[in-house]
Amino acid sequence: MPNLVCQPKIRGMPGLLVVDNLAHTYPDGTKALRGVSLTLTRGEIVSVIGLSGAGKSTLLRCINGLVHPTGGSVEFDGQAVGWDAGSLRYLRRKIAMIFQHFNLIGNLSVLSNVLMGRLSYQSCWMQPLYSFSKRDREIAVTALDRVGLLNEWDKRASELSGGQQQRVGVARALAQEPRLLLADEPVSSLDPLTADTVLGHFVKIVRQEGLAALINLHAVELARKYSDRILGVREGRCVWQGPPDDLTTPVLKRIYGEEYDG
Amino acid sequence: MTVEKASGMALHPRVERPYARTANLIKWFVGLSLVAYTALAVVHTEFNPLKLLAGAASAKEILSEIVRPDWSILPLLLKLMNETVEMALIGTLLAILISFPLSFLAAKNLMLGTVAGRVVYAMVRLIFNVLRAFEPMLLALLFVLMVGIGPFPGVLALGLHSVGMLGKLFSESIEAIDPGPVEAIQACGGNRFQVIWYGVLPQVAPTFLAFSIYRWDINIRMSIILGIVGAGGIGYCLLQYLNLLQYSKVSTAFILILIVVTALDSASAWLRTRLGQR
Ligand SMILES: Nc1ncnc2c1ncn2[C@@H]1O[C@H](COP(=O)(O)OP(=O)(O)O)[C@@H](O)[C@H]1O
Ligand SMILES: [Mg+2]
Repeated sequence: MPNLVCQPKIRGMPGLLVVDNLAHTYPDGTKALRGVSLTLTRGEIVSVIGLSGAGKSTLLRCINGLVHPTGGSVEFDGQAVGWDAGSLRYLRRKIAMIFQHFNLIGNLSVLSNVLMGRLSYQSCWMQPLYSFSKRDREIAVTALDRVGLLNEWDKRASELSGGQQQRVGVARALAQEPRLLLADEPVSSLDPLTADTVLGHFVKIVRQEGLAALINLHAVELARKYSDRILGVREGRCVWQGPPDDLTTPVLKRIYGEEYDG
Repeated sequence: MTVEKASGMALHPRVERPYARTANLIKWFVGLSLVAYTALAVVHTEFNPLKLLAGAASAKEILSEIVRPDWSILPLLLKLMNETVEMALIGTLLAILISFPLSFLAAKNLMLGTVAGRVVYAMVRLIFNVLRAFEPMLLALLFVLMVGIGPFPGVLALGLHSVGMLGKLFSESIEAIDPGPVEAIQACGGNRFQVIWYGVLPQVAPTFLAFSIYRWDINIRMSIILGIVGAGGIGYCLLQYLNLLQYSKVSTAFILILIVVTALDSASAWLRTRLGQR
């Protein structure tokens, strides 16, 4: 099956992220991605939907090099991404990630967790000491304030509720001062009401800061509500993309299979 | 599923096990050998409860001295007990210093990625296993011969053996961490050191501390025993009182050891539960 869509660059606006024909085969032979192309412009919020196992996580993880793509290329901010440690470190400074299970360090304080977003800026001799520059600490405090958790700064991260933990995850990502946010099912482990609140808050911040975001979502409703554009992934390929209003039942059947009802 | 299997077995009894007879013979042989060996062991060890009773009667004199501990030697014993605790402390610290960095090299989840990593992993694991196999008592004998009588050989013996023990426990707790935070640190742009220092270390620090305290606790008890082969501390003194038949002094030493070991035991248990709850 050929790639159906390859978003052209929007007039005059260079793509912030240009993914071309990205492919990944896991060492065990699983072809998780079979050539996905997409373009993200500044300030754009794009959701990726699809069945579990469709390759959504692999797509996101290939973009920041947590998984090395076995084919295709990624261009970020006009520069082709190399997969050596040096360029990955720079890339990951500018592309922050938010995880389904938050991936906070439970034993550390909330503020320490947010400071992890400053690791790539931390000077060499401060690294063993768990110490951060005044500027780094100010940025972390601002980020924590941004998600409304400043009062909880010295609690242990594991003491917070799920929704609060994900907000710490968002603050950690913001502390990186990124250009792009990758979110892998950021609200899937939260109850529906909290999920909507947390995602809404996240999207609001992304808009206010003028950032771009690529969000894997489990719930079609949330994708419709919060994104500028939606990408449908099926069996490692991008089978559809368009604005939320075009996401009709036939389209959903194409993404999720004929059994889809909703 | 299980029921089907069971009924299948009943329909074809023993068909799948042509060697059943031989297997049965071997079972009987092994069983009888074990019984015979146990009987032999009873004879060889001269196991005889009656002898114990007779001995107790003749030990009346010893007992009468033992119930009258000699408190005049208490200051000296306290000094030696302190030496024993210090031996254990330095031995344990030495072990922590060596096994802490090594344990990261012996953790599967950090090392199996590359060929070089696998080689280092296998080597460090081997070192831990060898060190653990050497009983502290044997090591102490060796070090007494090398550096002479005193607490220092005891420190070395406890230290080396503990490197093996702590290294194994440390690396196993590293292998049990949640990979999620580690990945988050990578995604934040952390370098290799930061991934270990911020992603792994905070997860294992409480366990490391608990294991270390526990090891110190064990080493205190062990260093008393090590004194008997000449490795300093209260154990060495105890041996001399025994040789000189000064049972009231032996008794004082016993009481002191009992009190100190029990106190430190509960202190370490308390500390470890505190760590667990944190
Ligand atoms: N580490 C891995 N090793 C082998 N196969 C994997 C691994 N991670 C994911 N896969 C497989 O790759 C495919 C895509 O997975 P994933 O990207 O996690 O999908 P999604 O996030 O859409 O649920 C699935 O078939 C999955 O089983
Ligand atoms: Mg996934």
